[in-house]
Amino acid sequence: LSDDWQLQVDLGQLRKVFTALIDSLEETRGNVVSINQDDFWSVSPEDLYNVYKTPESLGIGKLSESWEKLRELVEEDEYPIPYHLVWLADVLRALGLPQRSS
Amino acid sequence: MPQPPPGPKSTGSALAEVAGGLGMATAGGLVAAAGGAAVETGVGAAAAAGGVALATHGISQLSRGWHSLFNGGRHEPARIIGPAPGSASPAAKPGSAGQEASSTGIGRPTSPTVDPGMTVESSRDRARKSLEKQIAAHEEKLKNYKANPDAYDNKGFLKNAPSDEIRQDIIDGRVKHLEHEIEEFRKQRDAAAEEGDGN
Repeated sequence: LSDDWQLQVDLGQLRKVFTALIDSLEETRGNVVSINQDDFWSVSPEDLYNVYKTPESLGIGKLSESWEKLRELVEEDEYPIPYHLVWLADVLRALGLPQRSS
Repeated sequence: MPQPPPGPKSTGSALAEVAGGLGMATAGGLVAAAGGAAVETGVGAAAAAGGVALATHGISQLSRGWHSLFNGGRHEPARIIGPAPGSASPAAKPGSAGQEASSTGIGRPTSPTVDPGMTVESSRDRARKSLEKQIAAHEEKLKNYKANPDAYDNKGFLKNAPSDEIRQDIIDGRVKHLEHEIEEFRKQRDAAAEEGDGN
């Protein structure tokens, strides 16, 4: 990829994608979905997009922590910050992968 | 003693509410401030679509993940939306979802009677305060975790660790994750402050 290549994400489309996926999830798995994982590997933001270097030091995140941050956003009227999208991604990834025994 | 957060039980409608509240904030700033319907991905937004296969250290492509979302048959066909790199941002069509996203900002409707410059400044201040709050909360969480990691061992990984070395690796990983997040909050706060100073 050249240096000036950029993926452009239309937010209207992204909103439609999200709605379609959440609708599908509710249809197939109901209004409440249980996730039996909690701890997960996380790559630091510094290393995440540097594919010339294999990440050496991985952190360990917690889905319960990510979900708590998202709940606070709506239940305690927190002001959204960009990182809320990362916490949302943590939870969405867990919903999109098959449940595994720990 | 600090209590670990409740288990990860999610509801679809709550997730949709979260997404609505986020109103598509971007890593480089807030859509309300940028006013664009299309976003050139920064670091923060990108993780949602694809992700990296951590266990095998595989490499995913964001572009492949994004286009796959639109190739499922019942959605719009895959296509690149927005201006070519380097061109001016397009104005959202009246009534389009893009316009809705930009006019509603980050989930908190802005009054049309307020001066746009003031609204942007207010959003930036609120974002900065929110980041300060996250930093303080995370520093407290990190301190508590270091003092008693077993209190946060929801799944019993520490209790049942096969060796002291692995147990310590897990603890170090948790500390590293929280430190990374604090560092990222600080960067975003400083970036927001610099944007404010630039006005």
